[in-house]
Formats: sequence, structure tokens, C-alpha cells
Amino acid sequence: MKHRATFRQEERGESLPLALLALATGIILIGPLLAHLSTSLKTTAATQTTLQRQYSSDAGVEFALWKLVHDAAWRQTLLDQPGTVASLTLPSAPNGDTPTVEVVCVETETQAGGGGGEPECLEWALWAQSSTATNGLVIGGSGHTVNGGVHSNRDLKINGSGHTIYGTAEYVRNLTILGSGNRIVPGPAVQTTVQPFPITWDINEFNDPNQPGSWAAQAQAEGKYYVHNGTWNVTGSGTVIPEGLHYCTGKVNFSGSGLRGYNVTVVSLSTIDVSGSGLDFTPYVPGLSFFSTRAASTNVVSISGSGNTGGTVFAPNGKISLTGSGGVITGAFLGNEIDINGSGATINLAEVELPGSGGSSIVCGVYDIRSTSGSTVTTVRMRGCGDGDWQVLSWQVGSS
Amino acid sequence: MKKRLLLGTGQNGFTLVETMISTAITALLLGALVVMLYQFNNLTRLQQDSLTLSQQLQTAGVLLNRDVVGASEGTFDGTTLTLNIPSYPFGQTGSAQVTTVTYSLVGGNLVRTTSGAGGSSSVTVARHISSWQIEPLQGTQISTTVRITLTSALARRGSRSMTLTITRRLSQ
Repeated sequence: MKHRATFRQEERGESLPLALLALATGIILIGPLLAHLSTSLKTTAATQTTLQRQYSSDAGVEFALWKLVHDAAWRQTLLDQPGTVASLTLPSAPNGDTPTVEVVCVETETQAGGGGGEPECLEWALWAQSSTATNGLVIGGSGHTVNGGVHSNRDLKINGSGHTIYGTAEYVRNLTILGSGNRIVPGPAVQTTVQPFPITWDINEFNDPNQPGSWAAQAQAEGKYYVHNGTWNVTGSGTVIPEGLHYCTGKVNFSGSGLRGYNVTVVSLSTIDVSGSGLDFTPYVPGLSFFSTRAASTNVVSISGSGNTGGTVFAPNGKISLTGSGGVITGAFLGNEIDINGSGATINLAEVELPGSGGSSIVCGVYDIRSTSGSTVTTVRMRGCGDGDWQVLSWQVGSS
Repeated sequence: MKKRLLLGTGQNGFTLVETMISTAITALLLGALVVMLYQFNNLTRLQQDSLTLSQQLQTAGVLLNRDVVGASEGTFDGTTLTLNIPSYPFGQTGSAQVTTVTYSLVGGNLVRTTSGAGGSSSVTVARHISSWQIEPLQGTQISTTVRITLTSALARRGSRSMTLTITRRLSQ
């Protein structure tokens, strides 16, 4: 016992160096850790604030745009008092921040004809033009959903099971519904007379860039007219088709996933074959994405993938075939015949404006919108006529 | 017994074996501590680098987004993006004032230069940018919707990429 007591007495005073050692170690570790945390927090906060201000400012502009386009009475008050600044209050605070939004009419002008009223949009997702081909429009396979109208100038045949059409269904001669679980909502299918295409295009608009006023000439002037002689193959993942009008004398074969074509219209004298998923197109020629002039009772346009065609797929002399499974394809498919196969595909009607729709004379205005959130200021100049045809003349994001 | 007793009662220090064992344990502990500190220091540096890369990319992204949405036209020659941005004084008639904004990759720095009626100025918006790519292009003209990929790199951290998809807002 005595020995143990002596040994403990010899350890007296050692706790201080140990405590100092622990403290020193803690300081070494804590310093960088706190510095890192501090930097990280400051960076995140600064970026978040900047982005929130930008989003908030953007939301203010979007709200003003929406109000300009859809609130005719309010727009009229601006038109009646050019130069008078009107303030807008957003119905809610985006990101907890309320931007200051001001709108003023800068100029007015009266435009005669066209552009007034709500533009009329295509209501047919599937259209079979042939009045002679038996079963010109066939929805086969299983479990397809069509969001949009369906029209056949002769027979409409719904085969297989579990198909649903949300929209008007029209046929001229025979309606055949086989299998189980097929629905037309609101239904029922309506027998009608032979109708012309609700929207149409002429190949002469696209094949001669020297034809004044044609789409080909316009694209040529913009440096966006492309001629593909013979077969045109595009493969690979995520390939981007150059913006503009593509005129092909032979077959068009697009394959690979994620194919993109922003402001692209493809016109072919032969067949068009598109496969792969994630297709994403918007049309260069308003409303028209793919156009095949080939005359055949077999497929002239085949789409076996999914994605967004962005506009109309037009084959006035041949058959359009959709064979995707389980995907979503957006577009309007107008052909001499239509054949839907595969299973579980959803066909959504794309927004395609019908030309010439709208009212008569209209007062147009040039408007400035200024949305301020913190130090972020977004200034936009718009020119608009009625409810449609609005142009963005400038969009500037800056700091006050 | 007598010898042992003498050794036991007369012991005032540690034996050589005890000293060696304690020294070895101390060396191991100190070694582990040094390694831990070294690793922690490395980790902190890597995190700082990672943060720096992210911050640089975010800053560049915010500014590029601001400028591209408002551009009426733009060109990209592989190293320099040139944007023409029209603007109008709020509530006033008159023609557009066009500001030209360029982004250039100079020695790993993304430099933004503005030039217009009010003169010109340059500022470095991001460092450590090793490369960048813009698509789709028609010749050198940028499309209405563009994808901008910025790649940032530091020696210790490797590279990091960010892709922005921006749609120009002006009617074409």
C-alpha cells in the first residue's frame, strides 16, 4: 500500500501537460474545421441569395407577361395611358421575396387583320386522311393512351385491349372495337363525313430556296437551309440536329437516344425512320416537325421511340407507324393512314396553332416590364397584339 | 528470496524493458496522431478545393445565364463566346442599345468583357476553368437553346463539369 501511494504521489502534476496536449490537438483540428465550415456557409448563403433574387425577379416578369397576355382589361388600361407606369403585386412571394414589378406601355399601333382573339389549335392527335384504305386508322397492341382527337376518313379500328382515347373520335364508314377495356372519353365515337386535313403543307414550300416567299427561301436567307442528297443517317446518343429546315431527297434515318433538334423541320421525299428514346424536337416551320411526301401503303414515317416531336408529323400520301412501348410521344400525327402498335404508349397532342386563326383588327402595344428583387433588376421589352403573337424584344438581367 | 526482496524493495525506477515498451507505445500513438493530422489536413484542403471549384462554376453559370437569355445573337469560336444584348431605357421610345458581352478563356480564367455606349470593362468571373464547350452551333452561331459545359480543374482535386441548358428569350 505504501508503495502504491508513493507511485501515485509521483504522478502528481502530469495532468496539466496531458490537458495541454489535448487542448493543442483540439486547436489544430478545430481551426481548419471551423474555417472550412465558415467558408462553406458563406458561399452557400451568397449563391443562394443571388439565385433567389434572380428567380424572384424572373417570377415578377413572368407574372407581368402572363397578365399582359391574358388580362385584356388591364392591358387596355395600359394602352389607353401610354407612358404611365403601373405597379403589379404578385399573388404570392416567391422564395419569401416580393419583387417590385412595374409595367408601362411605350408605344401603340393599330394592326389590321389576323392575330386577334385566342389562336385556334389543332385538336387531332391522330388523323388518317384516306377515304379508300380499309382500316385507315388502327390502334393496336395494348394499353395505349391517346390524349387528343382521333379522326379517320374511312375506318377506325381499335384492336387489342386497354386503350383509352381522351378526345373526340370520328370515323366515316366503319368503327371496329375489339378486345376489352377500350374506352373513348367522353365518347362515343362519332360518324362523320370525309374531311380535308385540318392543317397542310406544300412540298413546293420546301424544295426550292429560290422560290420567293417560300420557307426554303426564308431558311436560306437565315443560313438555315440544308439539303441532304440521298439517304441521311443520324446516329449516336444525344446528337443535335442543326437548327433550320432540312430537305432530304432520300431516306431519313434517326437513331440513338436523346436525339435533339431545336427549331428543326425535316422534309423528306422518301421515308423517315426515327428510333430511340428521349427524342426532343421543336419545329422550325411553325407546327411542322417531320414531312414525308412519299406515296405508299406501307410505312413512310416510322417512330419507334419516345419523346417529343414538338409539332406535326405529316405524311399526306403514306402511312405513319408508331410502335413505341411504354413511352410518351408528343406530336400530331397526320397521315394517309395511321397504325399504332406496341404497348403502353402515351400519345400526347402537341400544341399546333392553326394558321389564319384569330380575329380582325387589333391594337398592338410595346410594353416595358421592370422587376426588381434586391439588387437584381430584370428589364424586358415586349411587343404584343391581343392574346397571341407576342414578341420579346429585349430581356436584360442586371444590377441596380 | 532475499535477493528478490531486495530488488523489490529497492526499486526506484523503470526497468529497461518497461521503458522500451512505453517508448514503443508512445511512438505508435504519436505516429497515429501525426498520420491523423496529416490526413485531416489533406481532407480539409480537398474540401476547400472542391468548394472552390463549385463556387467558380456557380458564379460563371449565374452570369452566363443572365447574358445568354437576353442575347439576340451569339457566336462561339471555341474559346470566345460573343453575345449581343439589346436593351431599351425603361419606358422610353427609341432604338435598342446593344451591349456586346464576350466570355473568353484566358489562362484558365473565364473573363467577361462588356462593351457598349458606356465604354468597356473586364472582370474575371471564374478561375480554374480548364475547358468549355457550347452546342449546338451553326457554323459559329449559337442556337436558340444552347448547352454550355464548363469544366473546372485543380491539380489536387481533378476535374468537375457543369452543364447549363439556356434558352434565349428573345423572339427570333
